[in-house]
Amino acid sequence: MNSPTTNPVRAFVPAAIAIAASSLFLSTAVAQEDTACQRRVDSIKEQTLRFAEGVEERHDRELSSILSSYERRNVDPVYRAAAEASVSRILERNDVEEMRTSLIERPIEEYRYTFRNASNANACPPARWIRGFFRAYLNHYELSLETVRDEVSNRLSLDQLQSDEGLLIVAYDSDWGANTVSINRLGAMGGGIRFTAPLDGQLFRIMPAKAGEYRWEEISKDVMGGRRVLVLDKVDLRFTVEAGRINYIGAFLVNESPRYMTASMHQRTSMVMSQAFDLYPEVLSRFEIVNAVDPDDPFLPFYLAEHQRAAMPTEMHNDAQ
Amino acid sequence: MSERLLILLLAICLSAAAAATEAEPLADGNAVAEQTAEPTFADFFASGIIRHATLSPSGHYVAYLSDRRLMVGNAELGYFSVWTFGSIRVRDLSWSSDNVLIASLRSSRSGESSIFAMEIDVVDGEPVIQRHNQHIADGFIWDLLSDEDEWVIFARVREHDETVATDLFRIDLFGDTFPQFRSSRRLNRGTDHIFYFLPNPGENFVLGIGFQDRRPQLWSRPKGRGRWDNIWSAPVEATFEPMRASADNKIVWALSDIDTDRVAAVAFDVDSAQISEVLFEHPRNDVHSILFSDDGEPIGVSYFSEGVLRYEFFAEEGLDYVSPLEARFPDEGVVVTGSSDDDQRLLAYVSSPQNPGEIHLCDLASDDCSMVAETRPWLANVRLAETTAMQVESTDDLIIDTFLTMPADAGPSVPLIAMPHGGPIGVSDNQYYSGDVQWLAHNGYAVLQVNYRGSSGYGRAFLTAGLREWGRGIEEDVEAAVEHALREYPMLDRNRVGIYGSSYGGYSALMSVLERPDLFQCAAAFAGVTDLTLLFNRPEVRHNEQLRRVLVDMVGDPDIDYEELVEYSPVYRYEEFSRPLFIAHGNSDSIVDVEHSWRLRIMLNLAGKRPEFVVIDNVGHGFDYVQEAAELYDPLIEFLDRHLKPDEQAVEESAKAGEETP
Repeated sequence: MNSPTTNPVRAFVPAAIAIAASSLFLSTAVAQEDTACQRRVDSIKEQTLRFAEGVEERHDRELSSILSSYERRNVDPVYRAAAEASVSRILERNDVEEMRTSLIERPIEEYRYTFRNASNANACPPARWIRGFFRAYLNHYELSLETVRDEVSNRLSLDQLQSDEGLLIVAYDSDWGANTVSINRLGAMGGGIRFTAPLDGQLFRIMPAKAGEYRWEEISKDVMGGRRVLVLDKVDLRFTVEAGRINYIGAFLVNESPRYMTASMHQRTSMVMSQAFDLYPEVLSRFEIVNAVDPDDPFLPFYLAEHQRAAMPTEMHNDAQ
Repeated sequence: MSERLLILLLAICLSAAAAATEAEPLADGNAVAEQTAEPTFADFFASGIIRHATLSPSGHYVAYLSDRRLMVGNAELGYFSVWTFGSIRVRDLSWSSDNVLIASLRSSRSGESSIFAMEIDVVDGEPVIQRHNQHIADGFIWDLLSDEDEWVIFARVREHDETVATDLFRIDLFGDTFPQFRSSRRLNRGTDHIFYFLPNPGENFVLGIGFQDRRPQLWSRPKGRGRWDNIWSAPVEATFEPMRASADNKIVWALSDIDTDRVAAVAFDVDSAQISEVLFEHPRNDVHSILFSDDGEPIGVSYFSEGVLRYEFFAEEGLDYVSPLEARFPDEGVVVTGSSDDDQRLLAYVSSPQNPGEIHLCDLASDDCSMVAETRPWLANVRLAETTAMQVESTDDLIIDTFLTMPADAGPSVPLIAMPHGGPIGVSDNQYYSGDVQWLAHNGYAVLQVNYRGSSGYGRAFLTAGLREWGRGIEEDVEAAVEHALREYPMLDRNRVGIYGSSYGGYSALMSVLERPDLFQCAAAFAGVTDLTLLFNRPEVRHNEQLRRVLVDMVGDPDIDYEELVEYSPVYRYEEFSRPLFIAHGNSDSIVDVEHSWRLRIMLNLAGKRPEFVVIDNVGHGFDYVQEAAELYDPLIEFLDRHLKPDEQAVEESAKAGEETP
């Protein structure tokens, strides 16, 4: 599980490539006339961007609906303010304009660039193929916006826990792209947990769950013409959710190699907690945090105590010592 | 045996490090280029390209692997590439006769094992493969059948229930595979528990070795036929490594520490099923191997002393064998890797800290040697650093071997890096070439390696003295070694001492700088353990009671010694760190999880301390490629330079001032 801060180079490199690529497109556009193929691409591009606008409108409507539904709820004003601040941070991190650029406009521009020398119609793919490619970009965009709404909705659900509910920190990282994970609540009909990891296969969430014992059940992914499923019952990875507490359940990693896939739970308390404090500071301050996978590990209580001590003003710090 | 074997396994697990670059061939074309400019990092860390050198029975031909090329030849002909192995890994080379060479192979992709036989003739002055044949079979060549050119006895591995056994087949190297491996053609019967049939001069199968719960068992059928009986099982927690049997199958010569503290060369009496004689026991060191004459009699032993392999003979003929070589290469370590049938020609591996390895073909009659190949030819013109062995007495009277490597161009004041090895139990350093040591020395650092308590090669008492000494006796040994070096070598600058290690060595570095900030100015850890309680969290430890028990013996029991484990974990003492730290870890490390380094980092961050922190993507507990190792060493050298060479000029002045002070 890599936190986003693990390797700043990783984040930096795609941006650098994008800048270089954009300047390349720009200079090419000035130097050369568009080919027939590029004109064909352009007409489909216009259509795709119109669809994208439609997707954004729907996203705005659904997001407004989520927010106004939260407005109507009777939530403690302190929690409400914290939740709204969290939502603002989520929306800042996931700026729609930037997402459209990176998921639709830039890929289309890169695709278009490949036909800069296609001198006749025969060298150009049929329009339906181009539409197919752009449809895939559009789907990714749609899925990413859905993930943002899901994150917002999830954050707003953390303030009103039922008496039989707790919170769990899900740190999930897979090589499998977008995929859906099912976690069963043992001995209960329903009440399991299901989440969908976004395109990069990584998901970090604090989410509500009924108290009880859980087992990681399966990971599935839609593939062309069907579904691939990784059944996890043989590895038998369990955890217990305690009501009214934040339950740390380790980091779940799925690795795909050419021959096989592995799924494993790792004790990554320090990375997970440090990311949780970055993303959910207000939630963490309200609930007791427990280690649901290895209660004997002394690190989590030690870290939390020291974290709290470090946050105290200096004079209180000295008193505490 | 089982416990110790497990300890060793675990120790090996906790000791892989930068030196692991040796394990895999590192395709680096630049490294092989002739050395003209300043040597680079890759030059020091690229693996040696020469492997598996082997001498033909007459002593006229040598075969060896150079990178992936199979080379054959001699001093007169020169050496020629006769075959190139793509992604197939060559595990061994052996001559069946003077013109039949066998390569044992394993496919890197499928994992499939095979033997590849080649008939080689010299045509127009050049060795050429005339024909070849491959047998897909998992196992090893048990006997080369020296009087039959194209036949061998092959031991094919078979899994039976939960034990691994071998079946012996007499194989025509150039015949079809399947008919020859029919079970009806097995040479052994009723031996589901025997993994290794002991060779004896009679070449019949009378004694065999199996393993039960990792303990060696001796099996016998005295008449050479009929039922096999298990006549003896080695006791737990003891070494017993049988090597050969006598011609009458009454004696098994073995390495063992059943009756001794150190591993000794012993004679085991088959009839009474006990050790009848200790042939050789060294006063300090474990015996490494027993040397046998052509007629199968033990004539000497080899053992590591002060980090160098040495020979000792109890029969005259052994001296004839090795003395001329030792005289010819007086300051080098000489390992005889092969001999002709008449013992007149020897193949020797010659190396020292300053010589990364050469293969020589020597003719005893003419007292002449010719170099076959250099393992790292690109370092031929590089002046490597010298290593000196020292013995240091610990606070509780143990004798600790240490190796000090001084930079080749040492000035009047030299910064020192203590470099404790991984393990900690059952691993040791030696004086042979090490890329890590030489690279640090090349960057101007003296390097001190310490075979602290718990290191292998010094007997059982010394080995077990390291148990549960994490952060205690082991680190005291390292500190005693550093103090000793500073006393003995005045050019070492007491104010510029750092400590760096990998795996357990990383833990040792952290604990040492924590306990002795007065001695160490900075510390660096790669793949270091920082939380002893977290060691018990590994899935393989949680689900394997035996492994857990070994870890308990080594570190302590978290159910009983919880407070102690916390006390000796750097993470829980983060506030005490007062010296600069460098923490690096591979994020695919399955032995010491990267969580260890993250824990220490976030705790130090809480205290407002900012260690240098490097996470290397897709790297495990060691390195497979030079470039991966560079991701550790580039920032590491920068870190060390920043803290141990802050201002070379100022240091020079300080040294001069020191000289003037009485």
